[in-house]
Amino acid sequence: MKHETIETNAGWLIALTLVVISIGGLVEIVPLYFIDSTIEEVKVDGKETIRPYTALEQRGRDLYLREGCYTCHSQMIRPFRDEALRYGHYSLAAESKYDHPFQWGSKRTGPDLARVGKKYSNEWHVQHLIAPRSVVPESIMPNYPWLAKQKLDYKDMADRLRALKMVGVPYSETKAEFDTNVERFGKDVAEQLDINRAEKNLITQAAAEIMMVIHP
Amino acid sequence: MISEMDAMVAYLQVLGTMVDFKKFDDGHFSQYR
Repeated sequence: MKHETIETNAGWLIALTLVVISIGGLVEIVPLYFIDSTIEEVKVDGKETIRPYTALEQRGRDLYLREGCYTCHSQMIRPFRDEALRYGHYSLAAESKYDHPFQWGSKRTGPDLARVGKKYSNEWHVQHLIAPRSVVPESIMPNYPWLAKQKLDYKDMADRLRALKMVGVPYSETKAEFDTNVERFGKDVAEQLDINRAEKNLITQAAAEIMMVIHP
Repeated sequence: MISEMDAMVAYLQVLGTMVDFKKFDDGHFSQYR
């Protein structure tokens, strides 16, 4: 059959297009049934080190979304040499397994933030969020001075964690769930993941953080 | 007062800190790719 026959005959063209697309579809879909998991297991001394966010961190994450940080910052380090040199090890799937919604992103106006934690001091972050150009002169990031002035609303903290629990994040509410978390993450982390203690945990963590800024 | 800044900084400071790559061999995670 000449190619021209197919191109000038709608019936043939539709039928053969479907055949070609089906082959492509099968090649992409079938392997998925033979992969156990694409999420890495990260355990040190039998405990999982990747944990859901604490109440305070989760509340910070909500603000990250509210302020639209994701429109300029990605949170996924690609496995390339230049990215490894600038940001560190490429992001693991496991590192964002508790993120709802994930913040991988595909557009960077500012730098990737996947490994920004502990890279700068708390004071630096406070100063940088209030007035970015006071610490990075060439920055084009907007100022976010209201973050330091506005009181954090955490009265619905437990409900926020409950919502995440509904989509599979292992926050605990019952004794049995708490015990499972102790087994998986260790006691200290499990206590942070207890919905019943959410508000108290948030206040304690914030107080410790403020102390670090005042008395480093 | 707990400000929104406290929560934001707590979040930024935990990003990417949960895996200690020094505890794993180079290329350990490539087995999952």
